[in-house]
Amino acid sequence: MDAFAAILLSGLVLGSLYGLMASGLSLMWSTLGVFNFGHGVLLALGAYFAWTFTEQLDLPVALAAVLAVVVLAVVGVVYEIALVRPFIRRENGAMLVMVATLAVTALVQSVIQLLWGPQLRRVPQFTSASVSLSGATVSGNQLVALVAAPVLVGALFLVLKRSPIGIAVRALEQNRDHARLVGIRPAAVYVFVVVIACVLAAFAGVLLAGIQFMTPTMGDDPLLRAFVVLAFGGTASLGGTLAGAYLIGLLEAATTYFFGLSWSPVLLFLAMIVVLLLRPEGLIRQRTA
Amino acid sequence: MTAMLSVEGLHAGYGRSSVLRGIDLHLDEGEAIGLLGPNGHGKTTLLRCVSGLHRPTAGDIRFQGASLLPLSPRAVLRRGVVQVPQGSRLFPRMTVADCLRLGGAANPDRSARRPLLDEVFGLFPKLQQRSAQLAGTLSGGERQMLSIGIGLMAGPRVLILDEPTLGLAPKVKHELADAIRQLRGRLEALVLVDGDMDLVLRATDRFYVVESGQVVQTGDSVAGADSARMMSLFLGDV
Repeated sequence: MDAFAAILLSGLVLGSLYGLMASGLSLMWSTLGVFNFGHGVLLALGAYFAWTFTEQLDLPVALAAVLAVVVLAVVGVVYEIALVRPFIRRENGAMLVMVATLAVTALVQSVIQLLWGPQLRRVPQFTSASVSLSGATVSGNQLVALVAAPVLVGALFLVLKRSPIGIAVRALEQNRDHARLVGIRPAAVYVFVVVIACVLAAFAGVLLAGIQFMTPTMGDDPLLRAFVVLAFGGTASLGGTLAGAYLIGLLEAATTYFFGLSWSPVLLFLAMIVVLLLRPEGLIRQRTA
Repeated sequence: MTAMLSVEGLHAGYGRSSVLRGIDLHLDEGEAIGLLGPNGHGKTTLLRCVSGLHRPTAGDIRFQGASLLPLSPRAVLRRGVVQVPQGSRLFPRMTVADCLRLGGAANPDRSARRPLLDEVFGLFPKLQQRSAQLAGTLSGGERQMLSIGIGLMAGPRVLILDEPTLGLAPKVKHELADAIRQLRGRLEALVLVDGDMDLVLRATDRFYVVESGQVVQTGDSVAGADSARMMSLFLGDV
């Protein structure tokens, strides 16, 4: 029972973090047609800004998280203007954007190292409260992750479903030319999508930085896992993405428990290759938003 | 008198391939014109240029005397030039209501949205019955009705219909043809592109035949029905 509870909780926490990452990635993929290789470094950037606000400005962690998310929203606007807009409508535009995001990853990781130094740091937990369940303990940040991921992804779902900008995002994703004929400006939609992706990545970064030490490359692993999530959940719906995230989280927790840390990624990526071969559209197919 | 919409010496293409080779046409207020001609000879490219989706290489497109060329599709739409693309694709995973809302959002006059929605539902009652249904689950005819409905919600002054009856069964075609004839009386001007020559000639005042990127024939729609040259276009003897 203890082992089951530990795997379940660990899997759900991991799934929550991956869900936050993968939702933004999925949205960018379905709307812009690009995989954002810079997503991991955006997570790291969110974490480092949150650390600065808590440790340098002495702000409470919740406020620091909000400020870090706001900063990353601004970064998202710059990211779209500098890395997406100049390339996306060119020939092989999607490829150019992907290469640009890959380049900016290396660049920003070096900048983080230069600005914040090589010391290992952590962002304080959102709350010191913890919960024990059948011998497994859930820390404050893990609790916040468990609640925040479905709430934030659910809120994003509602925005896409009901708001004018959400309808514009879906229209552009489904039929670009017709969307432009009804007056939708792709550039404005792209900014919105990139900002949302940055905000979700930043929040995941703040949560992760309370669970593990921060490094400029702290987003690399979650990014890789988020790609696996997209392979499992598909990019057709946020519901599928979130379900895929929990599935990967649980799979990772179970394989780590039973086979050890070294074997877990091997099995995970093996599973991804099998899924890509058998169901390239994702294991979970549903269309909700 | 200045034409409401005019196309002057328009050239356009894709890469090195030239599609339009000096198209000239005009549309006056209160008028409906038809574009005829074989597929792949430039009609859709012409419409894409008018709506701002494609940039021509030479020539001009003017609406009420002002050039549309520097404008984005959104700006062209806001001037009242609304193109209704062939409706087979639409927005398959959006409901009929959301699709119509999308069209309404393009209309700068917010107060007109409700009356326009009533007008669309009056013209196509099936859309009201299928409001909550996903566009991708509609029949071909219903999709086309929805595509026209989206265009009407945008509050057009000139409505451009691209192949509204393509691939539809005869009964549905008649239903749409009736709706298009009703629309004629309500709109300031109409451009109809369709492979059904009979429909185009009955629903318009004048016609242009576009072939190899040029206007090869133009005339009065009623008289045009007798044109041997046009008949040959559709019989393949071109």
